[in-house]
Amino acid sequence: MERRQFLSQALGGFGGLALGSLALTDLLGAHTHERRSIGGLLQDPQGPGGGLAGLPHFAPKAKRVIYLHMAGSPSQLDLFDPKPKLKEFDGRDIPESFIAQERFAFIKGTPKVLASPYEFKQHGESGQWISELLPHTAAIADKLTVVRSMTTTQFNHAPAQLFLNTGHPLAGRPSLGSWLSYGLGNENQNLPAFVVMLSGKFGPSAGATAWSNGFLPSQYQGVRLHDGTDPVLFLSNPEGVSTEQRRRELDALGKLNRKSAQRDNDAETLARIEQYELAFRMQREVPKIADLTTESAETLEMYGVEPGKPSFASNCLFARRLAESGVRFIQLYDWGWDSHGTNPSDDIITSLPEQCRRTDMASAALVTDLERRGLLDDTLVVWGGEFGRTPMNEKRNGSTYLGRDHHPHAFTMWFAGGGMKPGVAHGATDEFGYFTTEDKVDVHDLHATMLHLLGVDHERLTYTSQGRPFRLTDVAGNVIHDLLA
Amino acid sequence: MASLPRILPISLLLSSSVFLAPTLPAQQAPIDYARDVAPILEKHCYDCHGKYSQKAGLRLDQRAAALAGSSFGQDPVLLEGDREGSLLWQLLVAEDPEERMPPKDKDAMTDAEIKLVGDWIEGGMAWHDDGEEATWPVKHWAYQRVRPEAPPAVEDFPEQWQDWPRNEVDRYLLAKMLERGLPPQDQADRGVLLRRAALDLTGLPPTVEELDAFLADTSGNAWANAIAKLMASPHYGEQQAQRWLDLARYADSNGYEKDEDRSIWPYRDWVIDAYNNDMGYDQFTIEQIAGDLLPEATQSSLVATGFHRNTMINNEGGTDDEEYRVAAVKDRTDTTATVWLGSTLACAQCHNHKYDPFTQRDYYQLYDYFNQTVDGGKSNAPEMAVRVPHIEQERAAIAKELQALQGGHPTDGADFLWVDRAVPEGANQDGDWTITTDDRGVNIRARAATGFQQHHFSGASVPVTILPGDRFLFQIWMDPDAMPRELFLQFHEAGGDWEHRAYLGEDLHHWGEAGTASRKPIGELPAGGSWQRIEVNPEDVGLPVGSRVDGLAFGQFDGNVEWGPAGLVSRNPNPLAPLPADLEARLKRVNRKSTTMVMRAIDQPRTTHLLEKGSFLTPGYEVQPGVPEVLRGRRRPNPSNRLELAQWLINKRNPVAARVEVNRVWQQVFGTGLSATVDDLGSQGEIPTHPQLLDWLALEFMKNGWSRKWLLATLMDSAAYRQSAVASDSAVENDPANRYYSHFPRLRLNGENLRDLSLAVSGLLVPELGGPSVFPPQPAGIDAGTYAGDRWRTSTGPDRYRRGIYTFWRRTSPYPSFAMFDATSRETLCARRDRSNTPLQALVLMNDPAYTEMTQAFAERLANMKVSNEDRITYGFRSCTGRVPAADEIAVFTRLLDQDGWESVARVMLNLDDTMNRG
Repeated sequence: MERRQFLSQALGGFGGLALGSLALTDLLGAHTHERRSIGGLLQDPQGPGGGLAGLPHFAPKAKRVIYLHMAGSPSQLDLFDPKPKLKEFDGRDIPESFIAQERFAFIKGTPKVLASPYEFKQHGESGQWISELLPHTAAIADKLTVVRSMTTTQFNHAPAQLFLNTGHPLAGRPSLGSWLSYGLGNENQNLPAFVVMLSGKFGPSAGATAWSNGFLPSQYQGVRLHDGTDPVLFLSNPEGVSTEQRRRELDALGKLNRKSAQRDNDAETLARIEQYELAFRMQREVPKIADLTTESAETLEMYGVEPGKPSFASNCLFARRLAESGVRFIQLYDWGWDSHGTNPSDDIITSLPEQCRRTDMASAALVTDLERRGLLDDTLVVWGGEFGRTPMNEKRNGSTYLGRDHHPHAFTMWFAGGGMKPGVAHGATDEFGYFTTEDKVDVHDLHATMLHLLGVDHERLTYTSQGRPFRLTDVAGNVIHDLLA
Repeated sequence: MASLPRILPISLLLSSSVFLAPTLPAQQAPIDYARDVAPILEKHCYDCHGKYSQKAGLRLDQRAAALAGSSFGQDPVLLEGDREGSLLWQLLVAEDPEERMPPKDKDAMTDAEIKLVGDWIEGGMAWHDDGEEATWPVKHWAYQRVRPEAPPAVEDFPEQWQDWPRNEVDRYLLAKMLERGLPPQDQADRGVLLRRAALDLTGLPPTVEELDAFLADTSGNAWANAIAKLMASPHYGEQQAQRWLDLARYADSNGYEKDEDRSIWPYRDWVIDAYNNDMGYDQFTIEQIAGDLLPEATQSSLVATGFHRNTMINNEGGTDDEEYRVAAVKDRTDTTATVWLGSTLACAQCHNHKYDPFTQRDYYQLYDYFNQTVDGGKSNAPEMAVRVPHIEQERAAIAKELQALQGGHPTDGADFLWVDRAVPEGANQDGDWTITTDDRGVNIRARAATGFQQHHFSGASVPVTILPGDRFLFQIWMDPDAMPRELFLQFHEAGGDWEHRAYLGEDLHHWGEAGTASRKPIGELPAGGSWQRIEVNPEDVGLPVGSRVDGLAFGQFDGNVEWGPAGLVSRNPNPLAPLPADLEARLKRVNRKSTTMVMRAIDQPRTTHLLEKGSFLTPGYEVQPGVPEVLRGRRRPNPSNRLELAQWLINKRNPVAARVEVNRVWQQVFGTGLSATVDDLGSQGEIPTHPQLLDWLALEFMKNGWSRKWLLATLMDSAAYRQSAVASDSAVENDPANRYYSHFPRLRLNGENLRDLSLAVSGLLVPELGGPSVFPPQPAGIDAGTYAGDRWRTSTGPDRYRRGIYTFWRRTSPYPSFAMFDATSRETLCARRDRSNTPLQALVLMNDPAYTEMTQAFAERLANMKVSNEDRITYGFRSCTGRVPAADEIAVFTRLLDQDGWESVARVMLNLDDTMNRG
């Protein structure tokens, strides 16, 4: 079929049927023989739901992801990875063998070992070790897959966050959520496939690059939602403009824009029509989903949500509602975990317990709530920071507050649902918690495993940019089968 | 200063080598390169200076390249017959292990080997000439000199295309298009074309009247005239400045957690002016990097140094000043490298650059130029009060009217006691304000001070207005047995600060800057033992006519002082009386803060150390100022200070500065750079699609006085620029990113320009140039998520409708409708904004109250026209898109109009893809 002819068929032609209420993806989905849609922007024909035809590659365990990113990076040594040896060495020099080749963000000279001031206990039938700072997480220990052997290559926040999200420490690659919405589309055509919410004083260091579409078409970038009653800026029509009037405006606009798209042969215009339509559908859907007051008092209490008050807890509850509505990838960033110990607002004595109080109950409630609604089986919940923290006290500029520096060699993440094996702890670190000693899981392995749970072969989800095919896992990554249920 | 290696005493070396050189041929046969020297160099040098690596641009395995020298043939290292004069020899025997070759981590050469090389040089450098030309296979294109090369000849094109090229740009482009089987498009609709040029040059769409005039002009000069006219518009500078302000990371707040407001808008206005005057890129560079060091420094060149004062400042309590000062100096280093050297140097902060020929030493040598300024990491100083001509004119006009208002009062004025028994109503007071009445019947506040002490108030609910001829009045009695050493008087400007001070006596208290309005000497202490009047001319403390003062501070250094009632000596019977409303509004505008942050060199130069792992806490060895060797050439002297650095940056020998700027301007016009990585032309950057074109433009740009107007005019005069935006199927298939320009690239306008366009077509635009940044409406609470809470003071009156470039740029909370269209926070520079396409953008243009206001004004404008509906629709459509709507398009609007009225029509017009794009 000639391109021009294809286009005019796909678009219904100018003056033809008004297609305002039909998603572009539906139109293009019908033409699976076209190697490329117009503009060459979409490199593969699309399947139903806006994803690629042929995906998922195999039956998925998880259909969606809720990723709780603890920006700044929580201390695994005070939360999940107990190390009695640190008590023995507390206040003494860390053995030279550990730090001979090391560079740190802030530590100078030979640092002193810092034991965790917190009690660890085993919890549940699985006997997972979790510290006293996370009582609610401890209560769901049997549902968690705790990976203590995470490693990364980056030791500063922004590059580490980019690495964790895009598989590459520099800006420019698509994020995990973008890859998934590109590959799998969305279950709900009225909402973006990839949404991001922030809590805490700031956003993550990497900023919006952490949910960038990179070289993928721009419709795949994460859409930031705000918590509380006004989830999306400018969501409401101007005063006096009814939904019907807006519909007519969009129909007129779509008609005129399709004509431009046809004239200039520009797929970006088609993408824009789709964004306007999505915005319209979001206007209808998002307020319903964002309205947390329809939740029972018991649920609100379980999460610790005070309706109208933005918090990590309200983001978690909002996330559950978005998951219920079929959003593919929901990412929550919570800021405030960078426990350097330069003052009480970033130490492990005052600040870390406070961070835990802010988030522990809601994180656990999310898992419990998903489970009781039958959603946990096909929703993967992920919890973790971008790297770990040192077994040594940072003591920046001689600070008397206790804190830990950035640490790429070992950190802990946990997972629940979505086909992960519950109630296990995977991997181990040495007795100082410095290096990973067993079953190391690197960032590419994490990505490969997550994609696998979603029914995607990480080696086969590719996109060609600047003359070469790219994938999320670059040229690395192994699915960690031991983690799978 | 070039640093030459220090050389070991040669006698030592020679005497010892006599015994250690058994390999020397007994005969006096000349030492031959191939036979004698090559094996030594192969063992010790070729790894870095051979076929596969040419560090410092030096290759020793190839005769022609070795003789040509280092820096890719710019600097000879071998002088035939002159051992001592040959750099190679000097480096082999250098005393300093950091200088000596081979480097200390490699195996050392034996004395015998060194001697043999020296003897070879001394003996005439016998080396068989194989006729090979010098080549440096790894030399990166961007660091090679820009060499003139003739553009493809028109005669070489197939005949049907010979008429297409309008200038050299087209010849380069056409050659590649034809090579790829991608013929160019026809010329675009002329209305669309004028709109394209107007948006590129001024950021404002042409009016229907301007479109008509252009369409009616069928002369051969129509296009050139249109371009010239657009370039002459003052809005040209505004539009071009926008791109530069992204590179300059210009913002109106300090960044980091507190993100306090700063005043540096005069720098923004300087950039606008510089573009409007078509200041050459060389001068533009020099003034911004080192305008303070110019022998003929002016207010303007000082304001220009705001370029590098746009770095962030952390005035959070407890921060280490040095930490953030170092962060700012690094940012200046990185920004300079990106903007002028097209290199992302930042990774060399911590280690040698992995891919590009920059070492950590190179980094800190460049850093040193920026390490020699007085500013710190925690405060905005140094700042400078700026006299803005049009504001001063307005102030003079207001003063005249005020003078007329006070008409018949006595010329020398009467005392107005503002502070008498109590501080003015509503004021916050601090210090010891015990009021006593002494036996002389005067209300006083007495103070016995050791060191500096004061009492003060500010925030009086009704400030005093300074009218022509007014003077501040203080009354004091000083104890002759305990005289103060200094009287220190401060004035608080309403809505401003305390940076208005005068002192009498010794200059002891340190606030402000000596000699300026922030610490002005106004004379000796008056006599003690009797009541004395002190009068202060408001102009002396930076409070011109019309200023509003809501606080005073009474300070002294040592001594016993009684402070009597204070106020003004004024012809105005009541300095608290309200002014007529229009004068009040005008005064408010002229009283906005007009200081700017500037760069100033430090008196005692700092010693710069390489910072281990980039940390300010671990200084390594000392470094001298210098520019990256690969660009300078080893034997050329380094610039000695910031001014010489600026001159070096735009020296025509520096191959990259012109390339980088030309590439950025190309990106501005054609959407993507000739090398897409506009911030990095280094080895990780993209190799240009049209390297010869880039070089041709760079060379011509320099030849034409580094004129950006010349450059833009050249690009816009091309046939490539005038093409229609219609993409052929084969272009879409074979060149989806349109890197070969076989049609004109449509580009979605950025957030600022979308605002400008909507303001312009709605008729709301206030096209005023320059001045303090403004606060157009944004949703309540946007600012509240930031550390200091909501500080958005929504503008009323004309400032509500100014162009996007004047919107207050808060780093922690950028204006949402700009941010959603990919504006950055400007915490660091941005050489290329994304062009995303999201549902949130649709919501901005359709629902943002600021846009709703513009939409309604546009609707009203159309509805009020006294023509037919069809003509109104046509008018509106042309205002937005530049082209005449087709009948079916008019029909869509007519139908919408019937159902939903003009507001819906206006909204759809403003949201058309043809409106949002520069097509």
